[in-house]
Amino acid sequence: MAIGRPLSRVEARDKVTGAARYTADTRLPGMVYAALMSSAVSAGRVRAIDTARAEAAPGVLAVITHLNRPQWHSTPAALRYVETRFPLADEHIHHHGQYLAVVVAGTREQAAHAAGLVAVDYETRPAVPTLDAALPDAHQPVWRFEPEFPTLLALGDPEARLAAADVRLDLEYRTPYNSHAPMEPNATLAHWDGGSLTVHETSQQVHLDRPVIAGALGLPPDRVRVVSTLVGGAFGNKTAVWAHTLLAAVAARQVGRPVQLVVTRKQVFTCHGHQPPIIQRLRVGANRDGTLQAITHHTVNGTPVLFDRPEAAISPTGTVYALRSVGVRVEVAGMHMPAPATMRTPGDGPGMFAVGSALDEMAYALELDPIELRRRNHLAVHPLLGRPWSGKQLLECYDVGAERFGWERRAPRPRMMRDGADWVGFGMSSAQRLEHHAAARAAVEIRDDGSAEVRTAAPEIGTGNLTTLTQIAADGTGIAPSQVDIRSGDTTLPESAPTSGSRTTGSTGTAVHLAALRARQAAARLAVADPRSPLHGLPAERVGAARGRLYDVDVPRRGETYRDLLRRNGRRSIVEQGFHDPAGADPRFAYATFGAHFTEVRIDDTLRRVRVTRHVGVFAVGRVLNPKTARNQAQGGIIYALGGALMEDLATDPVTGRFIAPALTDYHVPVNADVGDIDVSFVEEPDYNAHPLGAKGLGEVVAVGVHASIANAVYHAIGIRVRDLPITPDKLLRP
Amino acid sequence: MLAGGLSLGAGLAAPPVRAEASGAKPEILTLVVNGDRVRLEVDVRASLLDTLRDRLRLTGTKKGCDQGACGACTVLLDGRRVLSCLTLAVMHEGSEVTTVEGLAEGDRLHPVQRAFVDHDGFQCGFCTSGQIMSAVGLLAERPRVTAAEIPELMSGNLCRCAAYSNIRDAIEAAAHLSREGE
Amino acid sequence: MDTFEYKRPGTVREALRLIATHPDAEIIAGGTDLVTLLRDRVRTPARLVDINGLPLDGLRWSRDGVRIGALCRNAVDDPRLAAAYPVLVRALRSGASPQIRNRATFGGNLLQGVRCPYFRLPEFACGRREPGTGCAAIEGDGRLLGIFGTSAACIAVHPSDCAVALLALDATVVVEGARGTRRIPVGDLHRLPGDTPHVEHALRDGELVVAVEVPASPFAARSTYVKFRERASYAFALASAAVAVHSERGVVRDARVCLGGVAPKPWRAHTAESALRGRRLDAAAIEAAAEAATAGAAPRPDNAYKVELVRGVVRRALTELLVK
Ligand SMILES: Cc1cc2nc3c(=O)[nH]c(=O)nc-3n(C[C@H](O)[C@H](O)[C@H](O)COP(=O)(O)OP(=O)(O)OC[C@H]3O[C@@H](n4cnc5c(N)ncnc54)[C@H](O)[C@@H]3O)c2cc1C
Ligand code: SF4
Ligand code: FES
Ligand code: FES
Repeated sequence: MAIGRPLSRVEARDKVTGAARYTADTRLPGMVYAALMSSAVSAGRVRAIDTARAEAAPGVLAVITHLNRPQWHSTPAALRYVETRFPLADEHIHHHGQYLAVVVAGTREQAAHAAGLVAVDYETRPAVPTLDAALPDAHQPVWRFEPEFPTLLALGDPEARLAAADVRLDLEYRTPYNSHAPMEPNATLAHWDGGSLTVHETSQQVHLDRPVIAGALGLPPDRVRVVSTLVGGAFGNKTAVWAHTLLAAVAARQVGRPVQLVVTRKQVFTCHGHQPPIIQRLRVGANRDGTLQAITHHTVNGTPVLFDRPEAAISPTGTVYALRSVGVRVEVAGMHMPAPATMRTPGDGPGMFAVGSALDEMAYALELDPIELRRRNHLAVHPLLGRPWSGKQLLECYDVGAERFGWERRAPRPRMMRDGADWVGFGMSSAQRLEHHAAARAAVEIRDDGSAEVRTAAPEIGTGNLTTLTQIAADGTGIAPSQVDIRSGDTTLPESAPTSGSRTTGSTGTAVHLAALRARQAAARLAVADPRSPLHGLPAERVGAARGRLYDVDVPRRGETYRDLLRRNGRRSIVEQGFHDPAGADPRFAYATFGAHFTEVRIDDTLRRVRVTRHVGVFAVGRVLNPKTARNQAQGGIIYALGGALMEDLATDPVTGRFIAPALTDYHVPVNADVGDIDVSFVEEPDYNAHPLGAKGLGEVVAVGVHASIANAVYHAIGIRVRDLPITPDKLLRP
Repeated sequence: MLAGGLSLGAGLAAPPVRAEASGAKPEILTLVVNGDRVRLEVDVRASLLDTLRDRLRLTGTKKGCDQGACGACTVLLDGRRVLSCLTLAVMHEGSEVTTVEGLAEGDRLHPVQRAFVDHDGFQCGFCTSGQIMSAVGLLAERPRVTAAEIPELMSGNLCRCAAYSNIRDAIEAAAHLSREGE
Repeated sequence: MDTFEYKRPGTVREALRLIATHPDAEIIAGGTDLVTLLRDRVRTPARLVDINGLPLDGLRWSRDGVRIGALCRNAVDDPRLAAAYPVLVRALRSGASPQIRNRATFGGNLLQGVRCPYFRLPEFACGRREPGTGCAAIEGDGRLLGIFGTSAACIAVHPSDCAVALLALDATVVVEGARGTRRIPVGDLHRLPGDTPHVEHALRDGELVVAVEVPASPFAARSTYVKFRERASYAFALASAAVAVHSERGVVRDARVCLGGVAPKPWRAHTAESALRGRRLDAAAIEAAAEAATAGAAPRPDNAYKVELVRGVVRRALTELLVK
């Protein structure tokens, strides 16, 4: 079995030798460079734009602005483009950093230089710079497309339940702008061949990008090929077609040469997505016996002035703990901000920060251990669907985590644990992430040299899917993983699920699994029908496969290799397709992944920076396909959220709303020295109700609840409850 | 091998820069990159990073920020780890540059590279060239580096996938290996 | 980046001539700051004078102390320096990252640009970058900015760690220009902004830093540096303290308490030094000095926490000296 083994990544060698090729590493003959010029104001209008100096600058081939851009086709709404307006649509400016021109030149230096020579005469209007300033505009969102979650809901009678509860809390939590900040900046290499376009793109979802690009350019989708094999981290900011892609494509058409456009780090921070600021008001009522009675969750998030984009922070509220009644209200408020983008743990990240913190506050109010409070409100059934959860080993996660962490050493009250100059605090939270599905296709080919190839479009963004999909195909075909190749990240391949929302394992993995099984079965049918095969005449179900060989499961010695079978039959290969139907999971159950986080923080009494010295995470994600990559991803998810909890804040200028930290120097993400001991384990029980492989998503649940676990530990250490992230030193220096 | 001192390994001939179009007088520069001597004309504004990537086609070295803030562009310059985005190519006449492409000997990976594979010291891999070059630089600075010192001395290399624990383990293992090799 | 003429002189004289003969000449040393300033168009020199060919590196020891060449890198790893001036080596080690320290020079570190976010983003008004344009930070986000020595025109802080340590060591900057050699005490190198924030330092046009001289002082050996930042490493100081104490028979004869990350220049907390003088260095004296170090602080609401931080770094640094 390859599944379950800690195999090294199949692309590991390429990644350590520099041979791994990312979008910006791809070159084509005659390639030239584009650079984008961004608006210096947050709101207003381009009164005049002077491109003469840029056009005259050395090496410049084209300067495109709203005045001379080619016609866009279709509409942003029809194409579900990320914004309601195509790039360079007109002279109006709706957010800082908005692209106002694209410059193409012979070298990178020339393009960057000329972009700086584009002179704009702005008519500046006052901007709505902050969420607080936008609050008077707070309103129920108008969904651009179909609603993704309820924005107004009352189950039971939350007001009455709250009023009747023994203990009531009314709390406000805030999260700031956060950036995905993947290490790889967004990039495009656009290349036309006659009327066909190839776009090498930093994308998590080539097939979803294709119709958008094709539509905007007025091409049939089959004239556009999108390639994205290796992605240098994404976390959601590569789940949309952004302006740079369309602009690179039109620039390449205009200059008649391949155009590479790599956006600057400042532009990544500005125009390629972020998680907007969110204010959450939670009211929680519980009785003295620790039973939660009611919760109301009212959220307001910043949204671009042009369209409403609600954040799903209410996502955990109604489904995580047993409650008699629930009320949610989701609002948005317009600000002059660039378009947000789904960010790792969308909704659940900020939502569980609030819910997990509020539970902790309630535990103190009731003088209950936080785990005990969670146990008393454990849910075996999805409360809104009325179906039992499948594979919910949350109680085991609490047990295992508490044991590994040493939770029993926790003092019952804050400010009771001290080690020299350090305050020590313990905190915990649970984690939950609903399991998402998408349709996925894959092909598996068994070749006459005994090897196999997997083909599915899913780009590798670091989650290890090249490796786990290889393992799945290896086990499905009975061919050693070292003999299995994989091709991915290209619209010429079968359409996978997008590599986002923790869907790869469940959806794309299932498609590969089915394709591999079918390829094996096709081979088995060939063998049993072939009089020259030692397997001739057996029922096909009695044919097993292992180590590149088909055999009789009752008499394992009897059999032959794929190689012999195919060559003898003059077959170069056997190719079969697999399709994952998102409706395929057993409808009697509800699906999610679960986990528990335990954090130890230390805070020097004088210099109050929070250090996470130990963190224990225990997760129930069904079957673990590769413990090596899974552990790595879980640790990474925990640290990702640790950054959000302790330092990440895409700070804005309070007057103009512009980002003042669009640099990795200022937008702090954790460095190596920030990371303490992170212990990851799994309560592993395959969930075959969810998928035939028994494996579920991993990349997100590991990061859900970490913010709360840390904030709870901080409170336990020094008795200061921080409800607005990040928990920076200034918030702990209150005397 | 070198063809008239102008090419860099197989298929890595430096493409000509269009001098007349660059706007500034290009400078002639000689570098020794991964052991090969290359001569090329460079725009004075070109960073060492862009020169390696765009001109010498050594795209293993990555640009994560161009701000000196991520470490993805780390290379060895005359044996010391530096950020290639923060320095201009023209300033390094005659210098020796080692990039991630120059570490392995044929098929044999450098001990740091092998340790990164074994310990799964990456996810997306975008920071990895920089991490590895930084680790090689670190081991040259301090062959006896201890496990406790590694986090601070590797903090100039961000990993947003946050494979930090594995990166530490990999470097510790490589340090062991190279000490045993002494 | 705009283009420029690139020059690499081999002698100090030639370098001085190249700077003097061009109004828009700029010196580049390690380049770790200047390259980003060029890329962001904060600086747009027409001539770049690369001084890496000058014989200005290395340490020269004498009875009077050590002379550190302007091109000596911040990664300098010299056991003698670490023993003689612990505060300096600790400050250097706390700065930037190993890769940056391998290139960054002493001269460049002292003269690096401020890290005020508004200064680095040309779309904002900044009188330090462009004289007379005002200051967007005043109405803006000042969480990282100064609480001492600021003015109505500029509230930026100087980012160097090394400079704070050098101030505590009474170091002198040696500069050369057309009119010869001058010595500027480190404390006088950077100018307070007043109403001319663009006048950043005391160097005259055409002058070059050639060395830093650190005297052999009675303070030096008992000194340390404490830097507090938002994450564990690779970040500028929110506040830092370089302290040095000279005691005789258990009584503090003299002391240096210098602060970083809180003022437009490395900030000497004279009041704190007085609070220590003539006392035993004990918990009470440390408390008094920590309190005194905040004298004259003029915080804004958004950076008032820095006052508490100043107490914290001074307390912590002096406490470290207790055990020394
Ligand atoms: C991500 C990042 C983090 C950092 N963190 C820190 C930190 O924590 N602490 C800290 O102290 N610093 C930090 N720095 C700043 C770094 O230390 C400086 O960039 C470096 O010290 C500058 O030295 P350099 O030789 O590279 O200067 P350059 O970039 O070459 O020059 C800087 C300036 O000094 C002038 N100059 C240089 N040498 C001379 C000379 N001899 N005479 C006259 N003028 C001269 C130049 O003209 C230029 O204006 C950080 C930098 C980065 C990019
Ligand atoms: S505080 Fe100083 S550096 Fe910052 S914007 Fe104002 S003038 Fe410029
Ligand atoms: S690209 Fe050089 S440090 Fe980020
Ligand atoms: S592996 Fe993705 S950034 Fe390090």
